[in-house]
Amino acid sequence: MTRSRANPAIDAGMRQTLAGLADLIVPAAEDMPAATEVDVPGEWLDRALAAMPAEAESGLAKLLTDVGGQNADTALQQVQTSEEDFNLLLAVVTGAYYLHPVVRDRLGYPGQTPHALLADADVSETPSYLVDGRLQRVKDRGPIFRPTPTA
Amino acid sequence: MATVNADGDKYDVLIVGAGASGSVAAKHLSEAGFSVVCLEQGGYTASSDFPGADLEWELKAQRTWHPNPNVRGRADDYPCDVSDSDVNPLMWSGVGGSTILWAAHWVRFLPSDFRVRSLDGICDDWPFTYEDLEPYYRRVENEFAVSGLEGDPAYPAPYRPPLPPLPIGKIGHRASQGMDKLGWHWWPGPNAIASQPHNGLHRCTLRGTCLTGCPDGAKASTDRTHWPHALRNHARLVTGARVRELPVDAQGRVTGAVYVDRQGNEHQVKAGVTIVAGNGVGTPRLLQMSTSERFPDGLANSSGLVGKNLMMHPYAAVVGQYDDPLDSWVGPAGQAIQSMQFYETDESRGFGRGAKWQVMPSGGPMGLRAGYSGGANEERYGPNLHKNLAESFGHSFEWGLIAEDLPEETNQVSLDPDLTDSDGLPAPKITYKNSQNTRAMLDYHLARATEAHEAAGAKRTVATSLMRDCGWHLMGTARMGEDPATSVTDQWGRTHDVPNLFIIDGSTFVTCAGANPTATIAAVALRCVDHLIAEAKNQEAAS
Repeated sequence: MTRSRANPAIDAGMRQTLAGLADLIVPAAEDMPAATEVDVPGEWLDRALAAMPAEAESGLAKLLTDVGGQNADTALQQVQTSEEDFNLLLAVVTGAYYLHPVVRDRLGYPGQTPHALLADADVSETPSYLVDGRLQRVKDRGPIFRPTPTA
Repeated sequence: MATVNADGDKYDVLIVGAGASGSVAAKHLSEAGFSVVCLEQGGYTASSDFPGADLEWELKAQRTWHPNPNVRGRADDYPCDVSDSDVNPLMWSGVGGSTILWAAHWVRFLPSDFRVRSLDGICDDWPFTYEDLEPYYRRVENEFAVSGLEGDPAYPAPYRPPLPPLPIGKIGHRASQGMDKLGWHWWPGPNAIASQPHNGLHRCTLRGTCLTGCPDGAKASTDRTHWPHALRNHARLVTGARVRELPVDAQGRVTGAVYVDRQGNEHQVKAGVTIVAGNGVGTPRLLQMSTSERFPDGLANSSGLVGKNLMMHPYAAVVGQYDDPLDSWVGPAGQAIQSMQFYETDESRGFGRGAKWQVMPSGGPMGLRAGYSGGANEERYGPNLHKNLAESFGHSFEWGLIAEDLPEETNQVSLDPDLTDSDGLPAPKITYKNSQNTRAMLDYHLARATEAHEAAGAKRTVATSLMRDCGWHLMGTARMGEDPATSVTDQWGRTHDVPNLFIIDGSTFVTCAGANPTATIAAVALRCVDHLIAEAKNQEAAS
């Protein structure tokens, strides 16, 4: 997997601020890792921002500058006073988090990949709904459309 | 002052727009031996450009591949003023038109959709019937590689999709169990997505990224299904060609088009017959830009109806969450199953007309439609983020509801007085308000869809009504009819006012049904073009 170039708009200080916020947004819980355990403020932030609108990068830089230097809880409270800022923070942090292969593996999510079964079975075999009577019951209820009126 | 270059060639037919209807026209006219030129403001999109195979697919879908041109802002896009609209129009500018990003639901209209006045006492009848259109549905279904199952009692027989149905997946099986329990109609969803190689398309891999273009080349888009044929038959396709006007001669015939290329130079193309295929927003916009002494209110607009009666299919959805894993990111996206249970009018419900339902997959962790959420903040982060996602992701699917909206002249496309595109041409202004009939219809359907989820065993449902980013279907703004006072074109797409000007896209729809329109757009386009070909010797043309 090729590492993205580090986004220069988000400097080391901003990333440190983001780390505190990110672990509040995505803590270790429910058998899922915390954001900093999967390097959200690092490589995965860069990958996410590269795929998102340009405004996400500039908006995030401003947001992190505005709340920098405070403890994470206070910083998050301040972010939440603006719905726009809070939505942006959530979008960037979760957007980066859910790219990580460990996170996806824990979710049981292989990504949007070609489905292995299709070529082998699904199209050539008789679908179960034709065998178990489910679709026949639809047919047996008869037509449900109104025909073209005559004259 | 821009340079006007006269294109030395004169063509039999000019087509404006290389989307669904324009592509059908180009293929069949060129096959019939006509010289054809098509002007398309956008360009080609290679399937390798689609982000569906990328790790960052969901993030890219939120901007670069968003269906709303106002969000996307590509160079080929033009802006729309939606400040007075409840719904945002969704479309793509490029070869293939909106078939590049469509979900490929292939849904014939029903017989009653063409007889709304006769059956329900409202709106108007179309100038032809389902039976008149049925042979054309059959022909375009082969061209669009429709996968489905014959025997659906929601349609007159015979209706035999050319390819076998795609798997309905765990979400389709679960949803159908609920419908079975309630005794409600359901059927494997027909999709213009190849279940086996057909007409240049590859077999679908169920990747489920259809709405951002198909990287596997399985979804029907007319750049793949129609343009190779048209180009083999010497049709000429000019991309990056933004048409700004259709000039009219002293005899009141359109002589062709004036367009602006991507370097800002103006060109003229001359043709005997001109076909406009810009769909519900692009077509009225061009006609309104083409004013003249003879047509001061816009080309072919003696009725005053160009731009009016905009219909956009208000959309609502109910997402159900289930205990068992449903692998609900698996495609097609596309539709797994559809239901016409509540499609036909039943006046006891308190509204007219109805809606087609479909089951669609839920996308990745960010959600198939990330903008639908809107839950309380506390639910969206912290431990609740993990808890809520564990319950929903891979365990949910949506019943989507396509509501038929009724034509109202106040819902319209006009030229914005201030907003322009990158070439300085006036942008379209969309004026659209959801009606009381729409609201009553969606309330009813949302309640029924919730019942359907509950019958299927859902432990939680979330309903979202009247979402803004749902204007996929753009219809009615140059309606067809027999009376020139109340319509813009006749049943063959020929405008009443201009004998050599045709419109063959969804803007000609009299009513919009409660179902995805592309099947009908393609069938109507083919019917119009077949008639043009048959009557060519009698067709008036610009000299």
